[in-house]
Amino acid sequence: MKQVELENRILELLDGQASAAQVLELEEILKADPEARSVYRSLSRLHSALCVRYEAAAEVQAVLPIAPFQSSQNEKPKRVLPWILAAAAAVAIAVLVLSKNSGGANSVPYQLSPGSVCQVTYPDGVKGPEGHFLVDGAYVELLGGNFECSLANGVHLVVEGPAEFTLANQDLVLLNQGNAWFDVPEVAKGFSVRTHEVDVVDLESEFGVLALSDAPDQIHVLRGSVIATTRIGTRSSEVLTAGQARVVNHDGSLKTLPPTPGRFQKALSGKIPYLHFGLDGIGVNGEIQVDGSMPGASSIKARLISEDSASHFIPGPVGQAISFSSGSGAWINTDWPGLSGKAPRSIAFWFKIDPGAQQTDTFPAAIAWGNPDNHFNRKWKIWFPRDPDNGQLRACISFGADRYYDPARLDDGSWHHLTAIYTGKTHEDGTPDCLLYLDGVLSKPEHRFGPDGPPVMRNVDTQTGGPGNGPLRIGYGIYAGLPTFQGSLDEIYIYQGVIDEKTIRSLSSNGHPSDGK
Amino acid sequence: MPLQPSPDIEQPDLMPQDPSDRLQTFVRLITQHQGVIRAFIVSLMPGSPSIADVLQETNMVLWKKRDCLRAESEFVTWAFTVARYEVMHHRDRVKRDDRVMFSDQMVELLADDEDQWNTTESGDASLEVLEDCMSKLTGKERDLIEFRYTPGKSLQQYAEETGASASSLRISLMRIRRNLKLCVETHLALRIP
Repeated sequence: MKQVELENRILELLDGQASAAQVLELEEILKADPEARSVYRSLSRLHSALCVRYEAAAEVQAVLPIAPFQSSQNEKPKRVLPWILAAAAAVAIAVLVLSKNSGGANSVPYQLSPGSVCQVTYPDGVKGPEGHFLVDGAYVELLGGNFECSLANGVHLVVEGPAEFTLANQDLVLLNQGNAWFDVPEVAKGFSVRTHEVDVVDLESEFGVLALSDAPDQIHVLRGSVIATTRIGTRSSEVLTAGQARVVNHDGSLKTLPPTPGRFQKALSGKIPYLHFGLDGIGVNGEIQVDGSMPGASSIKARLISEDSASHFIPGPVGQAISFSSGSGAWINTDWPGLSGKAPRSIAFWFKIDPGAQQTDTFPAAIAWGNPDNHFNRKWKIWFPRDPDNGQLRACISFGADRYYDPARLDDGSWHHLTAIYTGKTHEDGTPDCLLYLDGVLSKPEHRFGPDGPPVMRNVDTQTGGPGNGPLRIGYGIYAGLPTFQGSLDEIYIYQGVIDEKTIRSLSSNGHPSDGK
Repeated sequence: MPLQPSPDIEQPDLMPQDPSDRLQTFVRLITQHQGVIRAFIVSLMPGSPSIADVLQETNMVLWKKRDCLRAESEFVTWAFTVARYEVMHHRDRVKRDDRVMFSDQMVELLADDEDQWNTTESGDASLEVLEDCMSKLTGKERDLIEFRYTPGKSLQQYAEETGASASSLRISLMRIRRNLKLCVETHLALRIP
C-alpha cells in the first residue's frame, strides 16, 4: 500500500468512518509493519491534537465553570493555552469535587423507587453527604429501579435503571447509560446532558435521552426545544422541537425517529416492575397468561409446549399450578429476552419436587435465560441439581461459572417457596452478591464454581436477545436437547429489582405481593 | 503501576516529600502530559466517541493513586499503564456494540509500542509546533479543519455554505491533515538534535 493510501486509511479510521473490512485490512498492515505503526502514531497524535485544539475551550466552559489552574500556568506560551485549559479541566474536576463536597454546596435531595439499588460515589473516595443527597461530582450507579431529583436550578429529572450518570454540576449531567427524562424551567435554560454520542443543550424544554449500551443514543423532545449535537463522525447539530425525536446514526448524523413520549417515566413508580405467571390454565393454543407492571408485559407471548397440555395443571398453593412431571415432558417457551447485563433481579415462585425426581445426569432448569456458556457469567438460571457427593437435591442460582447452592434438601414432595435475588453488586472476591430465601427465610447459600472453574471474566453479564442467547424458558434449559424439569411450579414473579423482605414474606405466605397485585 | 525505585540507584527526580510541593509537582506532570496521554488513548481506540471519557477515567485513577508515584521520570510509563487498563476496561463495557474496533491483539501491540511514545518528548512538543503549522494553512484550509473538529459544526454544514461536494471536502481534508503531519514531523526533526 502506498504511503498516501495508508495515511488516508488511517485518517478514515480515526474519523470513525472505516468499515469492519477496512479495519481488518489496516490491522494486518500495522501488525506486519513497524513503519506503518509509526505513521499511525503520528496521525493519532495529530488527530488528537486537532480535537483538543477546537474542543478545549468549549469543554472547559461546559464542564468546569471555573478553571482554578489557569493562573498557575502563566509560564506556558500563550499559544498552548487551550491545551493547558483542557488538561486543567481534566485534572481539576477531582479537585473541584473535593472542594465542593466539603462545603456541601448545591446539595440536593433525591428519591428512589421501592426496591431500587443505587450507589452514589465521589472521586478519590471522598465521602458524600449523609442520606439521600447529591452534590456536584456525584457518580450515580442505579442498578435497578428509578431515581428522581430536583436540582438547585429547578431542573427536574427522573432516571430509569439500570443507569450510570455523573452530576458534573447543576447545569450538566453526564449520562453514561440509562433512560432519563428532564424538565427544565426557564431559569435553567442552557442545562445540558451529555452521552457518549450526543450533547443535548436545553432551550427551555422537557426532553428525554436514551443512552443505550447496545444501541445508538436517542433524543426525544416533549416540550420546547433543544440543540442536539453528535459527538462522533460528522458531528451534526440540529435544533429539535416538541414532538421530534432523533437517533444518532453511526456516521454522526441525526436520523428521524417516531416520537415515543410514553417511554419516559416522569415520576417515581411506587412498585418495582415485574412479570407474573399465574399458571392457572392455558388458552386454546397453549398460551400462558402473562401480566405485571413491566413495560410490554401484556404483549409477551408464552406458550406451553406439550403433547397433552391440559394434563399438566394441578391444584397449587394459589389456584392451579403446573406440573411438568406428569405425562410426557412439557415446558414453557416465551419471547421475553430476560433481564440483561448486571441488572438486579428477584425471582420468586412456588415449587414442588417429589422424592426421587430428577435422577438424570443432566439437570434441567426451572427458570432460565441468557447464554449457556459456563466459562462466563452470561446466564441466569434457577435449577435443582443433585449434589454429586450425597445425591441430595438442592436449589441453585447459576450465572454460568458462579453458582450459589441452598443448603436444604428439597425433594420432599411438599410445596416450598423460593426467592432468588441478584443485587447487581459484586463481593470483593469477585463473586456476585446473591440472596436466597426458602419459605420466606433467608438462607446461607454456598458458593461454588461450575465444572469449568472460575469464569474467564468475573463480571456478571447476562446476555440477552442475540444469537445463541435463549429467552425466558420455564421448565427447560437454555439450549435444546436437555430433559425437562421434573417438578411443579406456581405463581412465578420476575422483578426488575431487589424486592424487600416484606414482599418476600407476603409472596411466600399469601402467594402474592402485599398490595394484592 | 509505577516502577519501584531500586535503593542502589540514585534518582534525582524523586517526587518531593512535602505534601504541598508533591501535589504541585503532580499537577504539573499530569497537565504537561495530558496531550500525549490523550493521543495514546486515541491510538488504542481510533474513531471512538469515548476518548474524553476514558481520558477522564485515566486522570481520575492517576489522581486517586498519585501517592504511588515515586519519580517524575516514571510518570508517563505509569500513566500509559493506567490508560491502557482503562481502554481495555472500556472495551469490555462496549463489546456488545456494533462499533468497529481493533482486535485485543492489535491494542496490545500498539500499547506495547509505548516506548516509541515515551522515550522522546515529541508527543508534547508536537502540540506546540502544530500551531506553527496551522498558521501556514490557507484560510479555506483552516476553515475546513475547523468545521471538521469544532463541536456543533460539520463538513455537511461547510459543504452547504460553500457549495462544494462532501466527497471533495473529504479528499481535501485528508490532504490537509497529511500535510500537517509532514509539517509537524519536519519541525520536530529540526528541533531535536
